[in-house]
Amino acid sequence: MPANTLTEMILGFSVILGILAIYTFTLILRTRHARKKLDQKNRD
Amino acid sequence: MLKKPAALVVLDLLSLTLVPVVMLIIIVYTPVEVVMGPVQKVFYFHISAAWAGMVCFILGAVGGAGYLLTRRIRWDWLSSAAIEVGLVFSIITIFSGMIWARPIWNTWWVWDPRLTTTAIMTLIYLAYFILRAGVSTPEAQARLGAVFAILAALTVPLTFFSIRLFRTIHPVVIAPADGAGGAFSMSPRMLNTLLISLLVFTVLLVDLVWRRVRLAQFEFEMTREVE
Repeated sequence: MPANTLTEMILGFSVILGILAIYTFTLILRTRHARKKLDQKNRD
Repeated sequence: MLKKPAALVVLDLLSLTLVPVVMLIIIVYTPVEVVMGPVQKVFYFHISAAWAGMVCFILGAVGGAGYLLTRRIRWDWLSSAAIEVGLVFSIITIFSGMIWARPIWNTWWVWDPRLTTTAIMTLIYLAYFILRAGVSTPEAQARLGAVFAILAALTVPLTFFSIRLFRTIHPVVIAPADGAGGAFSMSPRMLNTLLISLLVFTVLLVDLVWRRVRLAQFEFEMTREVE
């Protein structure tokens, strides 16, 4: 019978998808911020 | 203004769709491994993240070599972007491996050759950003970064082959399915899922690297206009 490791599986996927989501989110925020600043400079 | 390329929009949509799809495949389609149980399913993302990280680091070295040969800043954008994304994938590999190891090896961490070389590789690439932050001019950042990226890439084959070169408890995944090298035998469904997962993570890495290159481009345009 397989070992009961469901909790570890859930934890594993949460960590993987969590890190990916956090990185993607910060990347979007950094890009948005840089783009806004660049637009502002272009207008000035 | 720098408009978002249509291909990048397509890649964004593909990544957003394919990651949940492969997750569903892992949960529903792939069988539960007979000894390890459900935690083995982390393996598909663990291997894919390791693959994506190593591809990124090689891409970082290619970008570094491109910069040293041409002195065009675009190569530096590629190099630093790939290394940043590679670092994220390496951190995912380490943490998912630790979570997998806890019930199987009964410990979060052992100083096994594969784990140690992966940790060293990750720390070296972390040092890449510390080095860049310590240099003031963009040209010097790019030049030093390029040399570092090329030298650091030596840790990639060392990490990959560590399980073949040294005695280790880490399974050799790319091996005959007869248990040689500690490999567990993969059923056709497991193998299909692994291949799909590798493909999806490749799409994801291209998407993330491209997005990070765009950010580097914006930052460069900003500093250029200030000057």
